[in-house]
Amino acid sequence: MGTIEITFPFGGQPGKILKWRVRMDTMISAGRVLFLYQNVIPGTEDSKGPEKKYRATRFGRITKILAKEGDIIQPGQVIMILEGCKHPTVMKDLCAECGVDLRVEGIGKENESTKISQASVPMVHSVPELKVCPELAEKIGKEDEQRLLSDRKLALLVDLDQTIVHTTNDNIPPNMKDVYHYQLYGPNSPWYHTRLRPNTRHFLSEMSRLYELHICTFGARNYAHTVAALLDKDGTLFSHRILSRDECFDPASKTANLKALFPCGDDLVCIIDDREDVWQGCGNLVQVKPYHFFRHTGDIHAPPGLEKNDISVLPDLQNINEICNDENPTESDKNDASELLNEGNTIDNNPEKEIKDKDKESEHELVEKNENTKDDIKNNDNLNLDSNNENKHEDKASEKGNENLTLSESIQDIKIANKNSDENNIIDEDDDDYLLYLEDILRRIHTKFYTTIEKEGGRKSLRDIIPRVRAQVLKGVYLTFSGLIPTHQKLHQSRAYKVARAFGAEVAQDLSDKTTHLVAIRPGTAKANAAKKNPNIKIVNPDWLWTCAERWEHVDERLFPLTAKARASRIPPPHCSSPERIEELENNIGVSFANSINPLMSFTPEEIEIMDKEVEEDMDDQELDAPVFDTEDIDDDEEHDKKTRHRDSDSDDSSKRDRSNANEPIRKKKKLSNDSSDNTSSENDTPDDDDDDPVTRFRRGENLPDDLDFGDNSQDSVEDLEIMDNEDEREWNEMGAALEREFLSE
Amino acid sequence: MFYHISLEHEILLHPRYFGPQLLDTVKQKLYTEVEGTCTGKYGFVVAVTTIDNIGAGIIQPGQGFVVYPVKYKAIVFRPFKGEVLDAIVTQVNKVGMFAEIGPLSCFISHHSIPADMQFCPNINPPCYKSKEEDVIIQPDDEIRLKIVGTRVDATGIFAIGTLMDDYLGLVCN
Repeated sequence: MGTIEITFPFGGQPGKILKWRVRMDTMISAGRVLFLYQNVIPGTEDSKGPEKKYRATRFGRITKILAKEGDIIQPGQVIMILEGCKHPTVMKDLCAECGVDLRVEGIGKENESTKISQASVPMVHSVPELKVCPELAEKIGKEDEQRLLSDRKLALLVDLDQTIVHTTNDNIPPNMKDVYHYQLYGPNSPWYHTRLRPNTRHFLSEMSRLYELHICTFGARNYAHTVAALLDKDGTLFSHRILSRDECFDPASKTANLKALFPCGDDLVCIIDDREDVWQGCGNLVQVKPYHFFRHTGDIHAPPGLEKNDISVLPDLQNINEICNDENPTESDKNDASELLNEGNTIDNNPEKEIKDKDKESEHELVEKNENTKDDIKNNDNLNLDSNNENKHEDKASEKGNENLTLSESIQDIKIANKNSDENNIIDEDDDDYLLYLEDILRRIHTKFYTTIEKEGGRKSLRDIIPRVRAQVLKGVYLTFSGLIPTHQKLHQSRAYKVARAFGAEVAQDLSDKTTHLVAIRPGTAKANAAKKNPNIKIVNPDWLWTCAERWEHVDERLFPLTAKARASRIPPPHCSSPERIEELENNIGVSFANSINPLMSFTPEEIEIMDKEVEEDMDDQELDAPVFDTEDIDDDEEHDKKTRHRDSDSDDSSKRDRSNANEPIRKKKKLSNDSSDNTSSENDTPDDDDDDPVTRFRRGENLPDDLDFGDNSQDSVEDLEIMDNEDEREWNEMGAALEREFLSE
Repeated sequence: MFYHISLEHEILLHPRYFGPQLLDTVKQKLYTEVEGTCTGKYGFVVAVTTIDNIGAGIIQPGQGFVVYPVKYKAIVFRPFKGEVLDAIVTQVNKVGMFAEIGPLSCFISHHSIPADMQFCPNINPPCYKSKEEDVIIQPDDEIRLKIVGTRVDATGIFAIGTLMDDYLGLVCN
């Protein structure tokens, strides 16, 4: 706005200032009396006439007064200099300082309406309309920082869903312990059920001594405030520091808001969240093990199109569940029941699935469930099928959740039998103790931050501190992997390597004198045999590494012995974050959808060539009338992959030796792409076998013959399943569209 | 400022209400439709005091609905720039504080709070405190403020207030 000169009005008589009514630096608004004066007769110093008041015509702050009391001022003379309001704080387009309506001010000046105020930073979590200018934001941010430092505190952004609570919309038994039930949108709106993670209250109250707690969630404002009220009845923990979806700038990322909330930088900010992607590789993040309590419900507030890999397996399942719930409210029970059934029988059922040592099963149950929920379901179905119809084994991939529907009658008995025990299980089963570990992690970070200040004199950003603390975990440990990394992949490109390095371990390709640990996928490899001879080397299975990474502590190796039976995952669970070390940070910012799901990423050019050929052959063979391209493309890859897997499992049977390496990319991809891809691939197999399959043609949008006989369902359930799969296909199309968008935007 | 003024409102009535209770229904409908609403010109309609005249109903062609023009008197609350009002503090944060004057919400920027009042985030609930700690403003306290600007839109009025003037600030009971 610049400065404004206040002049004595032209055309009048000169005046004599009798008394100033304002002082330097006061804010004046229009109409305020500035001084009293009397007119004087020109040429003389005699004043005459009544005392007059001189009123301000504008709003501003007085920066200079150029006339003294008793001075005679001529018309046109500058009396004082005002500084106009810069509108540093704006609320609903009103300047919060001077009350000027900025919308009106901007009219007629076109582009200036935006320039009139610099205020652009919404600093208050729950009031996005209230904005302050960057300078003021920085000043307030500095004060905040000073306050935190003087209190020896840090800021902690807490995510809600799957971090400290788990919420579902599904129907659940009413007698569950520690579950809160509420409706958000009036009497006829859906019920929400929220379960607090065990030890949440203890965790928050402990953490509030070390950290200023903020909520930062993708849930709606209503939801965020309701859950905050559950966690914190009197507002001592979070107060008004609640940021919800309604205040987020970007529906897929929380990083943008960070700059607004902490204008002085995120040096003191620590984040706990179960999702890495919404923070775009932010170094302040401590990724937590997702809390999963209600089965078949992922993060109900995941950003659209960004469901986690391990959760992305859920939506179609969820859809199905929802549909089922309408017709049949006990559907989820059924799932549970079959899942229970499944747990006991995983081993004989499906040899290529990861099979867990029973002891560890309980410990890792929740993780497992997250990763493999879909697998589990598939297993269930598989199992149910097996129990009902032995020769269904080959159709496994196409069974999926739909199986629940078709087989619901047949598993009715099982369901009833299991129902009671199942409910009891839900109540008592929750042995999640992750918050205790998380508390420890956050304590270490806090301590490290303040000891760094004391020792080194200057403060380091938590962006640096957190990776440092992480790197302390396995310091001094020299690892060698056996069977973890596929031969064609370079050691330093594998995720296992990255995780180990992020936690401070040294990793070598081969055993050496320094090696302290051998992480092997199964006994009997050359390295494992060699390591057995060296008493200094501890041999563990990969779960040891994943558990260390999950808890940020050096876990006792004896809990993770390498046995033939215990076969752990080669791939770290998604929450075992391995943020690139600082020097590599720019290489990998954010996990994009394409990177996480695109199967082409994990293939070599030759493989892709082979696939292309295969596609062409197929096209020649059967003249597909070009359905959605993306879907087909992926399907073909899947198909190729599937064949490879078949080959693998063959070789697996004959010589178990080669298995570990060859199997790697397939496993990986299987996890990345979710089960529905398996499903689609097998659907895609169908046209190869029988091009005239009516269902296939139906799916391609062709007309069906009127006299179509859907056949005997009991003999082959694929057909009615396929109809259910429209649901599934829609999702594939959506994923295809998302891919396309991403490629176009690049 | 409160005014007692004459206002007009049109009531649209469904034919099912035609009958001996018709006028009562019109009155009832007027209360529910008018009280608590806000217009930019007259402000918040606090209460209808008298219904002066219910005009002749006009049946809408093709619908059967009938429209009654109603003249009534109501107490309205219209905030003005420069007005001094008593308000209840609802939220205190580092940028300022929010207060409510009945239906009217109001924001007071940190800069419009006397400079000797400091924001204290560590106390629960957060508050503004003077250096001598004799004046503390926290949520649910009553303050006297001056309105410096209003934003009038379709659904309500929002005000900007200040405490920077004589006799403004915490109201002691």
